[in-house]
Amino acid sequence: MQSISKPEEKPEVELHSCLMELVCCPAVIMCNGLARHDQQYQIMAAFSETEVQFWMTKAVSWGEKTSCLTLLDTSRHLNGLRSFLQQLLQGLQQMSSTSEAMRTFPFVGQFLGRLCCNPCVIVDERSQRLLLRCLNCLYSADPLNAVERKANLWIKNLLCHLISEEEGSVAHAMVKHAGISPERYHMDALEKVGNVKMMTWCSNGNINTMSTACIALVTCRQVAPLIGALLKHSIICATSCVDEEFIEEVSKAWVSKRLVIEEEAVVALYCHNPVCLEGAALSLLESVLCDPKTVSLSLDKCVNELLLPQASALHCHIFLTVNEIYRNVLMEIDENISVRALIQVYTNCFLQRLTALKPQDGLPLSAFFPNLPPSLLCPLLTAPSEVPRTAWLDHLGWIRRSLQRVVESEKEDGDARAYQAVFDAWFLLVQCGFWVDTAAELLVLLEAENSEALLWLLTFLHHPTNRGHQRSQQTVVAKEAWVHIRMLFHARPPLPRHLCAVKDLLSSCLSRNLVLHLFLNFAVFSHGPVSFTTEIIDKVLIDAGVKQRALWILSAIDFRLNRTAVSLEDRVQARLKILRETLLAPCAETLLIPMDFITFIVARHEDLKSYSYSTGRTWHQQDERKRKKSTSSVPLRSLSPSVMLSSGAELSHCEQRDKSLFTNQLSSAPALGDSPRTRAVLRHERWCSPAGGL
Amino acid sequence: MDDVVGRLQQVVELLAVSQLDCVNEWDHQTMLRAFEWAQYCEQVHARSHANPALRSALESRLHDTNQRLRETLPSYSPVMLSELAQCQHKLLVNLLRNPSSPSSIIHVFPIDRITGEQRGLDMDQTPVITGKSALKMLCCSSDWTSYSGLQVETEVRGKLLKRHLKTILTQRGNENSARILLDSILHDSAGKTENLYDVMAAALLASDDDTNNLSRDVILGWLQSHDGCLSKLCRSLSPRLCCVLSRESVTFQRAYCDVLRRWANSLDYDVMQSAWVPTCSITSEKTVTFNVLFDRFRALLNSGSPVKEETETKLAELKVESGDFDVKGISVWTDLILQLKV
Repeated sequence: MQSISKPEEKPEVELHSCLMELVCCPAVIMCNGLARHDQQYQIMAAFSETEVQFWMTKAVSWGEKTSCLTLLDTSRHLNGLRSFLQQLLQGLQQMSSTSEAMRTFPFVGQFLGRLCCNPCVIVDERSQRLLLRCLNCLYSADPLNAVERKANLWIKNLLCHLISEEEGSVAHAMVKHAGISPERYHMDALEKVGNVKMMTWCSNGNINTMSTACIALVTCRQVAPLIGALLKHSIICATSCVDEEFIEEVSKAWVSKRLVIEEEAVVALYCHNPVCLEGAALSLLESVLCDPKTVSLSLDKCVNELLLPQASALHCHIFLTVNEIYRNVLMEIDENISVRALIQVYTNCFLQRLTALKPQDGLPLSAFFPNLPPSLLCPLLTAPSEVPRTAWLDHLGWIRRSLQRVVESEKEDGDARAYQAVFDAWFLLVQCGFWVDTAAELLVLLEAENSEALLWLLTFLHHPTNRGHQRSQQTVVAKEAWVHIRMLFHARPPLPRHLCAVKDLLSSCLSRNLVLHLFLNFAVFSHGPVSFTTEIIDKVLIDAGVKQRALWILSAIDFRLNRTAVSLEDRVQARLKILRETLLAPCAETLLIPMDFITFIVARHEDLKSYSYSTGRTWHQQDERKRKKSTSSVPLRSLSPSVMLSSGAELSHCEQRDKSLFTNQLSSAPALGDSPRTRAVLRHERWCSPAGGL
Repeated sequence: MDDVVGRLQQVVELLAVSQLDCVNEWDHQTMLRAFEWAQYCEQVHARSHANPALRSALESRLHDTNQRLRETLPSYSPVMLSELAQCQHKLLVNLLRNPSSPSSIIHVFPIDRITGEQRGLDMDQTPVITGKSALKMLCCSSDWTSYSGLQVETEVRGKLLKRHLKTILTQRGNENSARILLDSILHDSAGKTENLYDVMAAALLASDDDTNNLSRDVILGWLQSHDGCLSKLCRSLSPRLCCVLSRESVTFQRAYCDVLRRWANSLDYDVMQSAWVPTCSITSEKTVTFNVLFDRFRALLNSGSPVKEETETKLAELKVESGDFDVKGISVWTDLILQLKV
């Protein structure tokens, strides 16, 4: 009868003796082919003696005691360790046999063995994968000598140790008889650890240790409840001292979508960590600017996934912060349709969340829009769905009158404060873009005598000032465009005269957005057959850049109709779908991405990181203080002192809170031109008074 | 039904064979089939473990198979029903521990994803490795204890044990299965019983919506029916923890008092030392000192109503039973009461 093989005990203990043997084994010396000696020497030379010594010492010291300091040290060195392991893996992959690997890297067995037995290292997904791959390299499918057979045995024992508990221990007995798979057992146990820990925390306040322990576990799916509990704890308990590095790691994982945690925990994270909040806001910007094709189809999904509207509705300072970021961005690129669509959708989602809150949980609207008069807030923040369709025209007239009053004061004063007021009013209109879309929809079926107010609103959205935006001039253009587009969609086949006129208007740098906006609303809401509309689109919208902007406008229209409880006719729904497909049809031209802006965002990201390291303060605390002081808007505190835009305009951080963030550093008035630099300067100039700053 | 039970028996035999030298003859296909059968076995377990009729049929067949295999293979350790839930894992561990296993066993690990998938084995072990190490790391990273004074790891394992017992006991007639489970756990954690008693205590304390406390009663019944188990448990747990348990369960409180009574009765008065000393003669149980008894009663008296009152009554009863003396050195109860100043 064959005997049952005895389970080998404690691979980590056995491994040291085993490896010592391996290194000194006569078989190793016997098969030492001198021909490969030079190559081995070269590979080994890539590893400096001190480096190997350093990591070996670390592996030994980490294995000796599991204390808070060890944990912290391990998690701090994980990045370095990963690159060392990667290097080692590459070295091992070049070896022709395990024997050769053992000779070239005499430390490898002990090193890998120690790391595999260290829970803080093995728990890290990337380190774990690297370690397993190294072991795989050392495993011989057809062992040729005693060394390789012994190495195989050792590797199998090590793997066994990784997946099971030590035999004879209570842990082993409990897992063995749990009646579920070990995977489930550990998952359930981890969930319970979260609960137990939560119960004990408040009594002994040792959150710091726990959060330190969790640094390496941030992306571990099973630990998600515990991570969530820690984050929530940080807002429940005032004395909480959640480890900063832990928060940092969670933020990174969340923004890069490697983390699944509950909503409440994310809100806590945004409250606790300004860098994470800004990272989330900027990641949305990055996606609308860099990946417009995908994002424009599901903008609200992207916004809601990051839970920014939810968090903003619950915490006013979060809304103010996100808004401030978008305000500053819009000040730079106020013509960018995609950024406007993002702001509009974000605000809309936020308003929906705020309405859904119980009255006692939510703050009044005026707290979220501190600098704006009620005469503006009242008509604009009312959702179109709350106003009967028949009253839309009157409501839009009210909005127009309120805005016009602000604009008129600009003419009279001409000073910085008046510009600020116009900008604030305009920004609110961008946020509440659904009303301008409603105006554009009404213009499709309206008679000429009622069109004036609606055309004014549309013009104001795209041309808010007379400084560079040329509002007065564009009001005339809008009227002209409206007449041509109306005629274009009425006559069939399209008359060449109107076709040319619309094409000309669309090609003008100044009026293209306004005309496109109007044009697309006709395309969606006019009653002509859809084939006719697509025919016009094919003739008019040729340029790839125009098509992309058109997609953004359609996405805003779609969002307004679909998500804001305005009943959507099947006909319109079908038309939207077809129009989208027409616009998405392949096109030879490549899309232009504003590279300078992306560089700007990336640079900002880096600056934000360094800011949080140097101050260590939280946004939350600052904001509390700030709110006590005044109710004015929250400036972008963490912006670096100066950020260079590649377009040439220099922005400088303004220390004084009540002032604008950006001051114009350009002394001479630029000549009108079409170079990117001039346009950037011009954009900037529009929102800055001659006195320097809003 | 017979077919299923028959196949299950074959899988158990397969698990035994996976520990033998003959696995070196397994080619890759054989190994693949072995894992497939193990998976089948897990599915059968998932569907049948809660059904008392199926359960007892499976248990009895398992028992026979285990016995037969033990006769053939002297070092064979029996497979219990609950283990069938992790058949694939068990097979993998057996093969890894077996020096004769084919070298392709390594491909079960997601080391080289492409190779693994080509070979048809897709048993990603990453969640197990990560889960195990995460648990170890969280539980070892601090020496925190919960309010009952238990280690976090112990408490978690206790909660999971209680949950498992509760699942088994949701069906009437499964009480015996629950006891078999506790037997197996005791058998497999031999040598580390102190930790086991902590886990049992945690299971007794685990609060959930188990309104009739069936699982708690089963654990207590099992402890009492095993010679010395309850006494060992009480000795291993701190006086404070025993008080917490007494507050939670009247059954435990009575059993605990009974254990204390037996400990006290095993003390003899040494006139030369003027003290109560343990006698070694009575039972195999290790006896405790007078001071230990004193500490435990004091803890009970300090643990508030109604445990305090009940302990006082019990002490008074025991004093009367042992002759109701008021002078020191005759009855251990009188001396305890005098020292406790009840």
